[in-house]
Amino acid sequence: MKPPLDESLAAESAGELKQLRQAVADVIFGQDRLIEHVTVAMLARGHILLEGLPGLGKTELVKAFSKALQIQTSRIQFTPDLLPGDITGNPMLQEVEGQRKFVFERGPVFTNLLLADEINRASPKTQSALLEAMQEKRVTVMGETHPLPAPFLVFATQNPIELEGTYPLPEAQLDRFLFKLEVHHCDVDTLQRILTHRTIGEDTTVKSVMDGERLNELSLRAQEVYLPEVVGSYIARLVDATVPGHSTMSQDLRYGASPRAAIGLAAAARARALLEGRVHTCAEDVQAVAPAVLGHRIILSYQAKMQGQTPAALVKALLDEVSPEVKALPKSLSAAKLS
Amino acid sequence: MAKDPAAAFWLRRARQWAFAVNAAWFWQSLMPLFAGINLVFAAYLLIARRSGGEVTAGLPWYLLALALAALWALWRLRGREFTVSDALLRIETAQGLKNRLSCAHAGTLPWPAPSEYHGKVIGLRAHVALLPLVYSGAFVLAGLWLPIQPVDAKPVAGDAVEPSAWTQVADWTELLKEERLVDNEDIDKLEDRLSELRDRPKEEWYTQGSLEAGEALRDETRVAMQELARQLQSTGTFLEEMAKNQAVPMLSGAQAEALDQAWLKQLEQLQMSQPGLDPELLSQLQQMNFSQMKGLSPEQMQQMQERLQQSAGRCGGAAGLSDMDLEAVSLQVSQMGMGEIQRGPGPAPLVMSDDGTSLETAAREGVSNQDMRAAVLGETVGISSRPGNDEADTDFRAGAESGQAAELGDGGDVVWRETYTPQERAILEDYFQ
Repeated sequence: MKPPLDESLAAESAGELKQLRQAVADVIFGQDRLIEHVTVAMLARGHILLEGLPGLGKTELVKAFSKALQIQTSRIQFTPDLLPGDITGNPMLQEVEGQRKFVFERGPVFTNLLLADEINRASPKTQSALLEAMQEKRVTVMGETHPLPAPFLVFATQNPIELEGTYPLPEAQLDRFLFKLEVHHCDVDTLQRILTHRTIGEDTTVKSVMDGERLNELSLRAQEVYLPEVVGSYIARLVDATVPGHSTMSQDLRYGASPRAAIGLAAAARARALLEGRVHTCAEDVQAVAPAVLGHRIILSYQAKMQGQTPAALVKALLDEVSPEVKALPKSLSAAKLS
Repeated sequence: MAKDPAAAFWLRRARQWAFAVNAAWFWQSLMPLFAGINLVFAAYLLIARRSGGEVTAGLPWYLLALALAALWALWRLRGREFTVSDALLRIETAQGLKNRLSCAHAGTLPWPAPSEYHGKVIGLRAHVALLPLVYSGAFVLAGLWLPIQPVDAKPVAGDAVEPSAWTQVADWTELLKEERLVDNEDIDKLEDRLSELRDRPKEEWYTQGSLEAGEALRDETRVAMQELARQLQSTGTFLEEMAKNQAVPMLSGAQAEALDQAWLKQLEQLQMSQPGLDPELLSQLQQMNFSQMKGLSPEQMQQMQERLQQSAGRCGGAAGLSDMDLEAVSLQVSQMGMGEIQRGPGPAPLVMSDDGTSLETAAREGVSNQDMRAAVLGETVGISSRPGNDEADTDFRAGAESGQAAELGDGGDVVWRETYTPQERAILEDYFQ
């Protein structure tokens, strides 16, 4: 019987996850926060949409994680002529034991970690085939359902430029991604470090720290992390405040976040708590993951877009507006905080 | 759970902070009402002090209002009151405990050690919390200490000074007594009327009614004394004139009779005057008609004449008559006609009389305008010292120096020709950007 999560188990898990992050950080320089977020998403069994310019290390990041976790990895380069069958697999006519019949030939989606490169270049039909697999964690072809291996994680990337001929993901499909992370340029020191350690064309060596099964176990442990009532209330109030008319910041929104966002926020907060070796979540966990969880789930109004508002700025405004404390203090008192 | 020292410590702290926050909420709800009640109470104190009432009479109502306000503030507190859970959340947020207290309170984690408590959880904004209290205190103190005088303050009886009108009437009464000119009964009546006023309570001496009554008595007495002075003056002058006529040898019997009649008439007027003349003096005067005057010595005549004129001077002077007024009376009597053919009765012209002689020196007479349409060539139309048009100042420019306006325009249209409205300006700036 699996022992219940306690502080020693949480500390042990945090140690292993720290090794994982360190292994990736050894080859992906200057992206510690991104690595932390990806780790959290993997623990929460969430899919990630990575957005960034070409050459910033998105693919390297995925490859580094696959090597560190020793899990099966596939990569699909999305193009406009990509068909759903190219992702899920196709029935092939084969002769088996003297009889000809259709045998399902598994596509690249049957893997643990799928890198969907430039997902916005494929047609909506192809995108939806992948997104269905992401949600259901299974593929149905010709009436036959094929479960996907566990863990099944999708790291999709998209390029914020060269948008001609692309099919931007609709909001409903964006909602399937737990995190949307932006990959930014690194600073000069990091760049110099990359130059020193990397040679063009040479593959990186990543230390293996765990396997897919262990990742599954840790993921199950993350689900055991206690979510206090006050934190649950905080998440609910945060998500509710994104509904237009429910808060000041929501004046700039056309649509707010869904209940799925609230569930994702709680799962991500739990994963982050385990990452830090705690058996309970706290408001700081929610605040840390909120921009990645909520940023792509709120739809800005036209006016806000014209004014140059960004989802990140609005989520920050949301966090400023909604307090972790349920009840406000009177005007004669001020909330003190340890500096 | 409560037996755990750490749990007891944190829960005790939470209860303390919850009480502090609830007290602050209560005070915030009560604050506007508290200030309003104190303002009203301060107004009440001022009114009570102004009207001379007892200020403590309103105290029960003040306390009742405060109690009701407190109940209302408590009622408003519902839904906002801090519970122990809220206080624990406040503490763990302030102390950076990452919701450990909430988890411990839910029984999922052990309580942290008390040593992790660092004290500062909530700060006090003193100016917000205390200013209303200061204002309210200032209101009440102002109501209690502002120097104001009660409207119906009772006068100090011993210090009361009677109205000046009464004093003047009393002086005149004394004068009349000294001069022994007036009948004592009349003086007694006057004194009775004065005593009636004086006998009223001193608190009422300066009431409107009392002051008006005193002034009416004074005016009435003054007029009577002036009239008495005139009558005495005219009687004295009459007596003087009769003494002069006594020296005329060839006065006819009819003229003597007329003089007697005039003297009787004068005495009648004197008798009818109010206050009435002293009976003794009146009888002495009645014996002095023209026919019986020969029996009197010149000294007696002189003495009586001087007494009358002195008394007239003193009475008149006291009542506001000048010597000129009395001389005018004398002159009027000495020049009184007898109603002969040449002139009727009454004073002669160009003498002092009640009606002035109009010489019409200030009257204006109308002057007709000349009709210039009938003017012939060379006739002078008019003479004026003002320069003509040919002497006009050609350098003069109206408005050029004072306003410094480059262009006067029509009704301010220059503003619209030379400037843009903010909207026009914004459009142009946008276009050329």
